[in-house]
Amino acid sequence: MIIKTHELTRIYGSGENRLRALDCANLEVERGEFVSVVGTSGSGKSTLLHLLGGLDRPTGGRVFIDGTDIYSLKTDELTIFRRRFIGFVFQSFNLIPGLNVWQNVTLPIGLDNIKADKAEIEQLLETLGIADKRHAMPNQLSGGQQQRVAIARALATKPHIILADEPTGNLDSRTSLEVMLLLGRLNQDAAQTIVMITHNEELAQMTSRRIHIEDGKIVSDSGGAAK
Amino acid sequence: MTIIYFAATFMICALYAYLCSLELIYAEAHIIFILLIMTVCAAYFIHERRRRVKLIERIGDILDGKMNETEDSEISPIERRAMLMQRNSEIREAKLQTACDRITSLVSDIAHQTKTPLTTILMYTETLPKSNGSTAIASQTARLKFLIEALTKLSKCECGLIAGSLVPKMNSISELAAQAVSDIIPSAETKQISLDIDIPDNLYAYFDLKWTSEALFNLLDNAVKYSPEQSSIKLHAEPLETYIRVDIIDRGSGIPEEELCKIWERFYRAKNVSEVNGIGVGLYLTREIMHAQSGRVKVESELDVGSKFSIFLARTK
Repeated sequence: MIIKTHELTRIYGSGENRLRALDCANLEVERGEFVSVVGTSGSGKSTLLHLLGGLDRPTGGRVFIDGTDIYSLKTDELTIFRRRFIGFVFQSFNLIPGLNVWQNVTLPIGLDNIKADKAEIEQLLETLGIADKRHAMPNQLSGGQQQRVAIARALATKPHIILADEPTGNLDSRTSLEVMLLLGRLNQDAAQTIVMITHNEELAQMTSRRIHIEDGKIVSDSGGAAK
Repeated sequence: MTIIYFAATFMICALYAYLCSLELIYAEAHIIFILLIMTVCAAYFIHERRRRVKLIERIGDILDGKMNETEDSEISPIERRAMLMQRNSEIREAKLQTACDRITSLVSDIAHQTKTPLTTILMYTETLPKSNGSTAIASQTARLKFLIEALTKLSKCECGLIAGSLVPKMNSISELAAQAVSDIIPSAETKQISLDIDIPDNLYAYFDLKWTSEALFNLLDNAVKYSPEQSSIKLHAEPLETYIRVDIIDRGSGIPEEELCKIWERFYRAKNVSEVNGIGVGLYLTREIMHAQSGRVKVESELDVGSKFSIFLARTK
């Protein structure tokens, strides 16, 4: 089990303004699954993702990534754990404007003082269709290309899991489809575990498992083990 | 190497002690000796650190599988164990493959051996006077033959034999369409279904022509099977940035939403098509063939309107 949560809870505010963003969520994800998390605005899906990625602190409950209780780690240890074992893809790409594609992709590896394996990164760029753009700056790329750079960056450290928050939110439907196809291929060929938030039901259909969240609770969980 | 350093330090200290005892050392000389010893120590530490870094790099190389004969006696045992580990895993894989091969060969034998009895049954059925019974026997026997062929293919699929026999290279999409369409024309004509083919000439992708046209044929076959007579089926291709998309659009009965994910499973047949002849392996095979080439499949459908099946072929390796 690569992800396991136990009674995961996140409460914002206090007293009258208390908001149960996430309520006793129990979730298990096996290695190699491609999970989509759907739900209306404010249902708690972003909260769940942020807690899975160690970007927030839960009010209660625990999160285990590949057996490690991530919230029992000290802040520094958690930062390093996150950098090494979790890859993030955001709706707004979040590329560094002053660095070119190659530099953006190898940035997290560099932060860990690991020498980038040139051949592997080349292959990654090739698979994502951006190999010929490796010296381009982010502002010279289309939205779809920028998101593919972000995906390459997330994969560069060969993380246990990829967490994607509305990765196709800023892309048109054709480009969204293309990004989904690429994610599906990574999940298929490299057994990369991916947990993705999306409000697009059609894209959610393309994943092997769909989890529906409403009012902070998991209301349905369909699909399951690899098809 | 360590011996040399120790010897050097020892000799300097000995010299120092000797000269001290002879009272031949004046004030500054003490400092010079101390500095000398510190330099030797510093050199030792730097040397050791460089050696450690090289060692770690070497171990990293071994773990990556880049092994060559090392004289360094500290690494050789690790290298040997890594080599043994790798060899063991290669042996295990070979054993697995052999077991798989034996199963597929057994399934092939079953298919082969059952051919004769089945053909005999069909032959004798033709001599029977026409009745509901004899027609039923004939059609079920034909279905059994088809089922056995499909199962043989499936067993090859499960054992990765399809993945192994795929030879992807740059091929033209119009060539792919031509091959798949030529096989479907007879059954399309029987139902007077027209084929509308909209495939640009200059599209190329990276795939195995033979297997992919079989995958595409399965989709066309389904489209023809589940479309009403005199309807039309459209074949359309368009390029995306990293994939070429090929769509098959039919005006058939459509697929209910809750079954859209299940149709790709082995032997699955949608609930509203039980009267039509079919086994339920076409889509499974199509998806396996596509996935084995880093391609994708997708379906969109609306009940009583029709379905759009899409395959996505990688544009580069």
